[in-house]
Amino acid sequence: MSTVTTGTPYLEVEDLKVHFKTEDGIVKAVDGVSFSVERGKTLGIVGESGSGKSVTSLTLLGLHNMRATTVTGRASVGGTDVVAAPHSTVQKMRGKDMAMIFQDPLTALHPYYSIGRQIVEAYRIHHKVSKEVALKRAVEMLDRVGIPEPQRRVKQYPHEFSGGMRQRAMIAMALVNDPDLIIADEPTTALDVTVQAQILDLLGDLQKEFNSAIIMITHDLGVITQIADDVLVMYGGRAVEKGTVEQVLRKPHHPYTWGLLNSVPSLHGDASEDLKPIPGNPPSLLNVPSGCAFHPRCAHAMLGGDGPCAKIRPELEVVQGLKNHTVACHLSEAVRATISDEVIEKVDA
Amino acid sequence: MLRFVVRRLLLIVLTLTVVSFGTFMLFFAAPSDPARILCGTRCQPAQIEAVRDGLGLDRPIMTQYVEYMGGIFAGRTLGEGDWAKDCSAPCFGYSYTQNQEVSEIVARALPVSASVAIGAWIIQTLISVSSGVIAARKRGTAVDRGTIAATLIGGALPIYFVGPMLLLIFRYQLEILPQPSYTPLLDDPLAFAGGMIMPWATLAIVGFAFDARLSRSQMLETLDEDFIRTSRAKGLKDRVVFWRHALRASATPLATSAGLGLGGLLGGAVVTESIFGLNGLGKLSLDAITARNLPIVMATVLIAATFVVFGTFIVDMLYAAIDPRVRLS
Amino acid sequence: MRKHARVAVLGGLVLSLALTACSTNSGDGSGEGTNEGTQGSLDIIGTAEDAKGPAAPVEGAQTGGTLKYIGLTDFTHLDPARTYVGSFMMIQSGLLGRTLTGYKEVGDGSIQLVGDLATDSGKDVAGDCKTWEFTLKDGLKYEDGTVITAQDVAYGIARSFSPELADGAQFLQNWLQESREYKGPYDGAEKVPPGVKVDGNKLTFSFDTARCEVPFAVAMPNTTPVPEAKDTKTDYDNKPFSSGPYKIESRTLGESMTLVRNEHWAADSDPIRHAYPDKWTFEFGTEPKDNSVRLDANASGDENLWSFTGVHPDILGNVTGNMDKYKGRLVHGEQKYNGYLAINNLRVKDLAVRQALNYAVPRDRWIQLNGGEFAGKPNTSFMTKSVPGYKEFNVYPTDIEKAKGLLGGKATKLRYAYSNDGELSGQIADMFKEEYAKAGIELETIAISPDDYYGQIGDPTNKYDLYWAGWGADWPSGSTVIPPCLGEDGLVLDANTGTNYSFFTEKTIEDEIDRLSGLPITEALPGWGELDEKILTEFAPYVPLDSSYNVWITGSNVGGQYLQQNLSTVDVTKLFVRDPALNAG
Repeated sequence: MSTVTTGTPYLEVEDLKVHFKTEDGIVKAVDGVSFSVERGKTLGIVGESGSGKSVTSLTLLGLHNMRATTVTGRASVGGTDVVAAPHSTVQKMRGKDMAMIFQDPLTALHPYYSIGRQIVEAYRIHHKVSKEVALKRAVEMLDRVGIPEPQRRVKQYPHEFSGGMRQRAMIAMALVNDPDLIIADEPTTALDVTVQAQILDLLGDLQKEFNSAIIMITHDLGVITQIADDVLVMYGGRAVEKGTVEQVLRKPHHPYTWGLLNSVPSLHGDASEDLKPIPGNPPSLLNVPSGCAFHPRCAHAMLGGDGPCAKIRPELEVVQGLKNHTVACHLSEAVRATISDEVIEKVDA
Repeated sequence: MLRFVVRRLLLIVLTLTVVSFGTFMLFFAAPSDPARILCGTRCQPAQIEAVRDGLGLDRPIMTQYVEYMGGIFAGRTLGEGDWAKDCSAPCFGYSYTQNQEVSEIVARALPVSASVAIGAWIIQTLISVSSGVIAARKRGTAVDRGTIAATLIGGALPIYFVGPMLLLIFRYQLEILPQPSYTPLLDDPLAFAGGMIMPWATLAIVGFAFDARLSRSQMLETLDEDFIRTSRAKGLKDRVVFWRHALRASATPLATSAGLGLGGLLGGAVVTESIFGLNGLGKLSLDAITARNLPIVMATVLIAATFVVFGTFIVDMLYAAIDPRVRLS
Repeated sequence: MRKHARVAVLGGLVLSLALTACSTNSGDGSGEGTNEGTQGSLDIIGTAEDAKGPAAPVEGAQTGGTLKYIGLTDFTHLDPARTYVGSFMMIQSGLLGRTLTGYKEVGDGSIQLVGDLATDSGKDVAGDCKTWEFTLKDGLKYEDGTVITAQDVAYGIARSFSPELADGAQFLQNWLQESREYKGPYDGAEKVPPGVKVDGNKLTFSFDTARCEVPFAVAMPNTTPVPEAKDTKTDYDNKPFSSGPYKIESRTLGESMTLVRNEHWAADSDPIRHAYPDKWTFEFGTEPKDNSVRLDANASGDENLWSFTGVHPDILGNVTGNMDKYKGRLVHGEQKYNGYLAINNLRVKDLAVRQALNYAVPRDRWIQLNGGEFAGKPNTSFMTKSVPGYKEFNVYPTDIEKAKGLLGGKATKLRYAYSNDGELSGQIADMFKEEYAKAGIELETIAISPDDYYGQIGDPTNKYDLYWAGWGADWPSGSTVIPPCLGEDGLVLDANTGTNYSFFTEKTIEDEIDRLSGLPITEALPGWGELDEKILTEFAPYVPLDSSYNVWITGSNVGGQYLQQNLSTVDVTKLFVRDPALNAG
């Protein structure tokens, strides 16, 4: 198993599988994913909806739907394998060792409790302090995440906050216990562009301050560029490409990554001409296509005759001898390199 | 908050005025002669005259309405001369078939219905909400399946089946419960509860299903909410997440259902009172409709409307207390 | 239809008020079993000796204890001027008030009219039925110990003239002053009604025409004494002042009532009432069926229950199929009420058609549909068995062929109207349609709203040919049966008060009615039975169906159950508590 960086990772995930049993069959939401993140680093996980990126992160916190779910593999958080650990252990780690920031801060905050009360509660789970002390801490945190008049705002309810302020509050709540690992699940998707940038900046600043490891789950490559160190591209419950931001976004080797890059509107060029969405729909996790899951949508798929794409599932392989850049594709490295250059050229144009 | 309350109260006054006016028009301005109906088939012309006079039916309808409403607040005199009746406030008119002021009749019936409905409401709400919530907590277990089965059975049973069955089993066969009857709570709390237990149980059994299913599905729905996931992500124990965060968030729809359910129970009380021979408002209005005793019908409609309107008001207030988002709007 | 009438009885209030004057009401059967088919005795008028108290003891009767009544509705009128429903009259006259004359049971289930307040059943002073004299017994007292006077009786009658109190029987009032100019003793009017004279403890009634049935008429509750000082006008209904063995201790209208002994009532003066229980309690509000179920269950604490409400049809089968189980708790028997199909004689003018209707009537299926032999007995006359002078005859034995022959192959189309009050009425209509079709009579069935049924069929301009009606005698004489239903007396302009639903009148019959009305009671009684047969034979103006039958059960601690023929319901004067210690309190 390869790792993206060389230090001692805080989070190490190995061959993680999350399978749900449903009436229609087994859903392989995550089917053998491995990655790791060090403190102070940010891993971006990219993929369409249904690629397994959110399930992966929820499984780390044990927040996935427990009913009829089988989780296998290993996921070590600060040395504790949260897959094997008892429920109560994982529960105690939540908030303290690993915290989560959710996509929609309006629905993710309890509508009937004040912001302050929710932060106080989060703090007091892991710190035996009085409410007053915790409230002081909450005000501090609100101040830290850039909420003006924190003394007043702390008493307000989520519906009294704007979208950006709510997400800041959410972040304040997630960071109140100084967690080592922060999982941010599309934290900026629900926000408008200027606020997005502010929030990402904030996260970056906080990361420097607290030296936490961050997993940034997103479908937005722009976000990745802005905040991540490493990238994991997921498709159909599996990792299809992994590497540093530079490697994956500048020298992408997987047709799916190309597709993602092509579908991002260029800031410079004529959007209508260049924009090429990936044809077809993401696969059903109930019935993942044989061989390479991406083959039905892949313009370069080698089908018919001895073409392996529909028959053999490609494993992650090192790209051009770069140990930390891996891709799972049957195309020859030379072909991939050529196409990669064409894609980047077009994106940059 | 004060503005909110005042606005709701004004709305109540308006609603009741409309209801009273509508009811009044419906009954008193109907093409049939109310005096004739009130007096009965064998009524002599002179009697009809007396009744007509007592009701002031010869005056314009608006005048009658104003006098009627005036009577409720200030009392009035019905009829003239030797046969005049003083009807003190709140005067809802006079029942010629029962030789009594309607307010006296209603004042006796009201506590009976209130005891049946409120008692049943408390029991029903407690049982149904707690069992629904527990079923949601124990989702998929035998407890959950048992509760679902109970709601299916309970929901299919009509009052006029459950009531007589309870009587048959617990009163006539086992002889362990007393004959249903009304004793004022303050006179003898034990006799009060004993006499009410079967009507309460009947309504609670029949009404249980809806609220239990609602609480269960409401809790399950809430448990799927993002903020519940958030609270778990904070490291809260499942128990705390469920009993504090989820229950709190489910409280609004449950309170609404329970509050409006009180109005429904008043309706159920009609049948229940008949089955157990309790002389409450439901039975009173039922008899009054059969006998076309308009003053009583009018009074019971008004009282029922007042109940429902105030029930809604209380629900609104509860809403505001539970949900911070309501207070500002 | 039939059911309708019965519901009226059970339900009390509205319908009963509409029906009382002459239709079905409550029940009658004899104590501890039946006096099935007891024919009313012709020897009905008692002597001064018969009027002496106390009443002969009921075998096995105990004194003391409390009897507990349950029923749907309160006794709407207990004011003696206003009470007219059988069960209301039973409570008023059996427990609370005494009348000039009354009916006592003479041991074999039959009744006799005797002096109650009066020393005898009335003296026809000149033998012409125009002047009647009654003398009050000595030592009669009200609940407060004051003496009952002849003036109070006159005042009681006077107030029954008041239009506001005119819910009761109107016979005496109409006879005393046919013009009805007198409107009662209020607003400064005379305290003694026209035609009545009070002289000490003597009351004299004078009439313009012969009124031979005055002894019966003064047994109606409006001769109950009312002291002027105690008259509360319309409120008197709520708490009448007692002259009988019990007085009202407390009453919540529509809910409950408690009667306790009137210590001033003298048993020695009363030939009719026994007054065994110390106390009576009444609870209202239970539906008839629930009532029956509760009485049937006889659960602990309920052994002292009784009701005027007959056993509900839904559980009647349990009771009648298991009579031994209810031994000592059961009363059942034939009532005074008939049921018949009125033929609209203004429309169906062909005697042959009316006779064909009689020959082809499906009487057995009618009874079966209505609940069988414990709900009604076949009746082939207008009068019913309990009325003295009743004559049994069957002039049109069921014979479809004969009916066909009478119609002579002519297509006969008739319109049958019924009260749309439930499933049964529709089933009955279908049954009549089906059965009469066999004789070649085509029925068009028309449903009428129950609220308007009597108003419509009582209207002489109605467009129906055939419809159900029922009647019960006001007192034990054909004079309260034949004239109101088959004579001019019942033809009133107002549809709501007319009682001759067949709109039948014949000169010869009117003449006979007049003749019988002028005869002394004992001579007239058998005459009414003869006239009954003559009317049906010669004119076939209606189709007799049945006489009603009813079944009552009580709790096991109640004794003395007896079906009083005159009011056709359970007689309260004889009821007692078997074990007064049980459920005392």
